[in-house]
Amino acid sequence: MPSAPPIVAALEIGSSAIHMTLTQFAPEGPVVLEELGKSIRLAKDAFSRGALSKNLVADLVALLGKYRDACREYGVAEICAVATSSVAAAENMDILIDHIRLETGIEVEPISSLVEIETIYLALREKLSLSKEKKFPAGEVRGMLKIGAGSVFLTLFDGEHILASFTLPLGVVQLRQIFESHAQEEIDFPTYLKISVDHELAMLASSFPVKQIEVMYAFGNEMEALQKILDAEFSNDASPSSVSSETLEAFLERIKGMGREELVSTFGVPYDLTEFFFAVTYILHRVSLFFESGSVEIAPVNLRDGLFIRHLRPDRDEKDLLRIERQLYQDALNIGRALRFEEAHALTVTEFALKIFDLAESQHGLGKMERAYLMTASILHDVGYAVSYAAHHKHSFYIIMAKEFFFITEREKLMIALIARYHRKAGAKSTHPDFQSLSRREKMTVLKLASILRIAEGLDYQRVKNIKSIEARRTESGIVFEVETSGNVFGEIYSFNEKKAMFEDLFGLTLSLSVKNETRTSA
Amino acid sequence: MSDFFNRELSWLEFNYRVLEEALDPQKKPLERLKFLAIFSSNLDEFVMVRLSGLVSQVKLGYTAVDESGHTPMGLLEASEKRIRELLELQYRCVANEILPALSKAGIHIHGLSEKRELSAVSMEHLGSLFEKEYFAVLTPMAIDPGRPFPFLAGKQIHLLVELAKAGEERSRFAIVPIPMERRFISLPGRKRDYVTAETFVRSFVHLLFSGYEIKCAHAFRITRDGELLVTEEEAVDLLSTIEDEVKKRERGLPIRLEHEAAMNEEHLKFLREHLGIPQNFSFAIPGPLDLTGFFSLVNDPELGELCEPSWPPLPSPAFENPADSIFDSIRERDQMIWLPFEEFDPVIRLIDEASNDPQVLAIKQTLYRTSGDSPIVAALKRASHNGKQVTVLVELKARFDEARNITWAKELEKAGCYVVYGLVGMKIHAKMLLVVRREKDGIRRYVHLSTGNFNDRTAKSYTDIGLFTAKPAFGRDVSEIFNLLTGFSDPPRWRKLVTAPLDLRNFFLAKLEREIENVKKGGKGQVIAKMNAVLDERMMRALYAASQAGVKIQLVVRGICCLRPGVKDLSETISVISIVDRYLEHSRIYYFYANGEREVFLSSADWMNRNFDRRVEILFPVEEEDHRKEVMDYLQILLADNTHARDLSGDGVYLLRKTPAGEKARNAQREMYQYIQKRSGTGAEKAGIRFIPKTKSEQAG
Repeated sequence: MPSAPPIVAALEIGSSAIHMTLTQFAPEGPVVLEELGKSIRLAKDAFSRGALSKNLVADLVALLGKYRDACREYGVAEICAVATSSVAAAENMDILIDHIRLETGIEVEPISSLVEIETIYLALREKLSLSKEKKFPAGEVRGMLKIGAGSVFLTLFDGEHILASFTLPLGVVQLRQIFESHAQEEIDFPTYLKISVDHELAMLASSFPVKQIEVMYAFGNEMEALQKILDAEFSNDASPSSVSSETLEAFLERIKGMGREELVSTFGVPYDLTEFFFAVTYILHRVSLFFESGSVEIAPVNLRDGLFIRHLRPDRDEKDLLRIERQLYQDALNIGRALRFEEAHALTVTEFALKIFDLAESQHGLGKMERAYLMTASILHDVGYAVSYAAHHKHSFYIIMAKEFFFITEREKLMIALIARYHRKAGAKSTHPDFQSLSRREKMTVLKLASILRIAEGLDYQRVKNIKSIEARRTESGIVFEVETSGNVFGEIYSFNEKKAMFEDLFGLTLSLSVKNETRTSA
Repeated sequence: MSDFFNRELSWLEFNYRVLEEALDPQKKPLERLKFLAIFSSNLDEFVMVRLSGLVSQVKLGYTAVDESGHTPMGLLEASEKRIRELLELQYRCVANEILPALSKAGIHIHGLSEKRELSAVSMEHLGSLFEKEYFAVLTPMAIDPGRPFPFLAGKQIHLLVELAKAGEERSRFAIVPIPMERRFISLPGRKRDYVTAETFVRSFVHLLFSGYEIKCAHAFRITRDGELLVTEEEAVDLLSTIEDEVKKRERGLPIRLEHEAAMNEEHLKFLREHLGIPQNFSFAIPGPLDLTGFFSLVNDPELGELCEPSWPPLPSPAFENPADSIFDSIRERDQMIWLPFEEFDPVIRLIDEASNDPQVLAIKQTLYRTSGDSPIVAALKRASHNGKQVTVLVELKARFDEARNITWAKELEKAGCYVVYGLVGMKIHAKMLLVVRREKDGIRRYVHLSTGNFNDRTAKSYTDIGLFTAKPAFGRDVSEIFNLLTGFSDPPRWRKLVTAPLDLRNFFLAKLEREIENVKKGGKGQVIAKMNAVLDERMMRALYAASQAGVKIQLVVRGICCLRPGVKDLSETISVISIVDRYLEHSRIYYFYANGEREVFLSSADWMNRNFDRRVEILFPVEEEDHRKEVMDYLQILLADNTHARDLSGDGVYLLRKTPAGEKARNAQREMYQYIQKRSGTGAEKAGIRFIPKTKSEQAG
């Protein structure tokens, strides 16, 4: 048999369906061989019962067995399988994953909503970069909307990176369950839906300055069915994947009050999707109106497209590192600004920290990714002030841990949080479980970067950026930092001397400060 | 007047057209006999399926008027009347034309064409045969007040024997089922001297009733309700449920009684009462019962001179060289085969080659009806044995083929194939074959789609068109249909194919709508469609609307057509023809003018509501320009037929076209054969064709 280009399967266990795409990676480009998708309402169980029922698990495993057979049919080289967050919410998810592995041999990775969004974003970005029609002008903001079972995920991005991401508690399964558990005679579901959406959009309006976005991309299982129907019913739309707000409004009018059977018989909506079809369409319409996007682009890519990209590029290359650095910078600024941090100080400390990192490169031996950790931790090192000054480094730690950062792992986030955590006061101890959870190498990275952050923080002691520039000179016994200053830098010198110990201990070097323009040099 | 013809009555008119072929004195006797047998077989099916349905409706007290303006009772009466008229024509033809013609050709059937008594030699021969082979297997069933009336199998000939014990006045009755394996029993002496099975058994029936005097013995036959009652939603195992139902079918309610004309009223009353058959559904047959038995004579290979000259299937030029890989031919470009004008062999070759090819990973196929010793089934089993993933969708519910399909399903499953027994509430009627092959540049899928079944036997007598393609979009669609049908996947968005029950009707409605729009804009609107039946109300109303807008619609409908063509202000621009000839017109072709785009599609579906709503059907485009031309030429050839085409009038009459004086006789099937011959070039010579003699009727033109 001739050796043929490899075939990879991307398998997605979603809230309401299982999807699998088989793609052949030929030298001329990827070719989709098959796309399989089967409705199976996992989220309903996950939310209502907290766990997936035995029957549902059996159905899912049986279906995945068929999918494995389909993979065998094509001689698939690898199956990238993920379970999305709404499924992962089930208590028995670990058992389920183990069951799937034993029964089908498929290793399923549960992913967070954050990873899901960034994976879809990867696919969308790739598609947009390949598309000649859709130039992405500088300054233009676009949105991604995923209407899920438990939440609605809204992500705004420009040509460079993700600007912001919001998780709105408007998941259609949950909305329905809340409505049913608090059912009142005087209110029907559409009214309840309107009240909920009004409330969330009002909150959104107050938390993000961007109002108008150019294009809104919508994802989700109902979307494809919706697009199919709108194609048939309102074929005047210029692009088959683009749906105008007017079209959505007209369609909503038609389906309002329709029962499930009626949706099937009138529009051919797959029965499994009928339960939430109105809610999904309504939310889509309202969000598109809110952002004045005029129209919605339906499902141009999906999670599986992103999984293929991840599969093809498992390691971060130079471009990725640059992109991650930019994204972390944006994420950190967003977090800091939301908590009204001292931006000038944060950026000065970051500048000094990165300068020291670069100057001491041969000593610490760390790379670009670690530099990005340091940058992020530096921007956010004092974000704990939002809680209180006392022990603010500890507050910074858990604030960072509670926030979302795109394109890094949870472990990497922990390292960033710990760098910020150790920027002052006592260093890492054996009683610090988070620190102890790291590997030896990771621990050293955290300590090295925290020691640099301490020095950098000390150099802006008065928060007025008295130090204008930093250079370094290697001496026999250590490093001399030559700084140009303006104004009185007593505080900075004091602080430098207080905070250099950690660095000196770690690197076995003596640090000294040489101040220019002021008459004295401190050692 | 209703806008629609009635389905049952339209079906009976179709069977009349079949009978018309038998009535054609220009045809050779065995060709006529074949059509007589087909007529009888069709009528059996009509009674079992349609008439039984009407009987049930009447029994349940339904009195509603259907779209054609008939009540179930009215239809029963009208059907009965028409059946009697047709039977009279059929048996007059048998008695006055066919049997004498057979006699003249040296085929003698004692008791029918041969009135002489059986000779002593013959009687001795038959007596010995009876003793050796029949006596032990015949099972006479005595009828008396102490026993229930025995169960009688449907479609089997029985003898009702009146007998009395020696010395007793009182008559008794017994029933003797006649073995049907040999409908005609050869007599010694002249070759092709026969006696019918019922005459033979009757001659020796006294041997079965020792001590009794035989007063009389008359043959009769009953037909039972043949619909399966499968509650699929409740069926845990579709295979065993259908197996059970097939057994039950044999026990369906008796619907019709056919009997020898000589049977007296007392005997008839006796049978009718015990069988529960009303008087109007007992038919006195003025000749041999069950003419389907004549198929055995028609198929006698030694009687070629009494048949029409054969048109041997031509080898398809694209697949002519058996040394070439069929995959290469298909990969090069789409290929099309025309059945039965061309050989079915490429289909078998594709599966056969796939089964042995190490590069082939998977084979998937639908099987609706296939032949008894199907080479396809054999190749699929071999493929599975060779480690391919073989998926077969066997439609267990293919009417009257259920039992056969169960056998294949089991065989395939035993061989390791993944067998899916159809879908709940739906029949898989689409004809699809998919071969997945790993090649140097990646996975390639080879697809064969057809308008007809993967059946090497019917491929010799049904007109169908098959497409072979390796185009990725077709491959992906077909893969995804299989995924849908095997429960792997929900319906996706198709690229090339249109499917029922999802969107086929809407597809046609949209196409008609577009033709209407084009006419409204001052352009041309035209539809030519060929199929087996038209009876979907929404489609017919859309066709009327299109006609009223000025779209020209030409329909070639072999069987039932409930649409009323050529009616002022309703369907003036619609014409309907039906062609019944030596081959069964079976292909489904749909042509739309489409503002000059001339779209051509092939399909497994007719315009019947069952095709749109209760069957899995496919429609696929003909994309290659030369293939489109061939299909459009074929449609023109069909429309121009003036020997076997019948024009349907607005009042429901089918008028056989006569070749106008001075004009060339045009027989569509013959012309198509010649067309394919011409296209094939040297293929005709290879098939041994030198010339095809014209029939008298054609020469007359």
